[in-house]
Amino acid sequence: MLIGIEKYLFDNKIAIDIKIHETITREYQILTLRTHPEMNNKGYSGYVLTAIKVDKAEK
Amino acid sequence: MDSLSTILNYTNLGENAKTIIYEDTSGFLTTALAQRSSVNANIVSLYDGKIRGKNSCLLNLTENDKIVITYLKLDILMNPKTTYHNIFSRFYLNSFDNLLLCLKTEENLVQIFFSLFPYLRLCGMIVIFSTQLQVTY
Repeated sequence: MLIGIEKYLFDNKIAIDIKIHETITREYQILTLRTHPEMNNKGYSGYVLTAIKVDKAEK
Repeated sequence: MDSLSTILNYTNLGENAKTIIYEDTSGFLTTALAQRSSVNANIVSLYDGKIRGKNSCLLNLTENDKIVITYLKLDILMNPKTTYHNIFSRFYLNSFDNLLLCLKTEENLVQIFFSLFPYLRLCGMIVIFSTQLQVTY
């Protein structure tokens, strides 16, 4: 869905600065000499599309 | 909560900011936006007719009368034949500073976006939250 909206905005040149953000929370294992990010985490945080509306470009 | 902070961060909430919101989170985003807003904010919150997006958190905002929250049924704006749609279009076309959509389900997202997009002014901010990136069948 967001991909479709992004493509529509981009192709019709009615928006600029179009971005799709995905937020993640990265957990870390904290142990002596074994501190590293967790290799697996949750993957259903959702996506945020942001854009700025502009006037349609003239051909 | 991280997604909420991203949504609020990208929304322009200056003085006299006018925001149109459609959400299916029972007023959660509307409340967060109202609390973040500065003086003279104007928020139009759309709901789908089943759940009015007003919850008890908004009762804390009654001291600040400068934040105006208007609740409208989405069906009114989606149906162009109604009188109310014509009145709303006449007064609010190209007038909103922010367009926020927050949907947990993917149905009607594109249709709602195209219906509300004309109400956003030029240089207005579009912020859409969805749990789905692409269409799933």
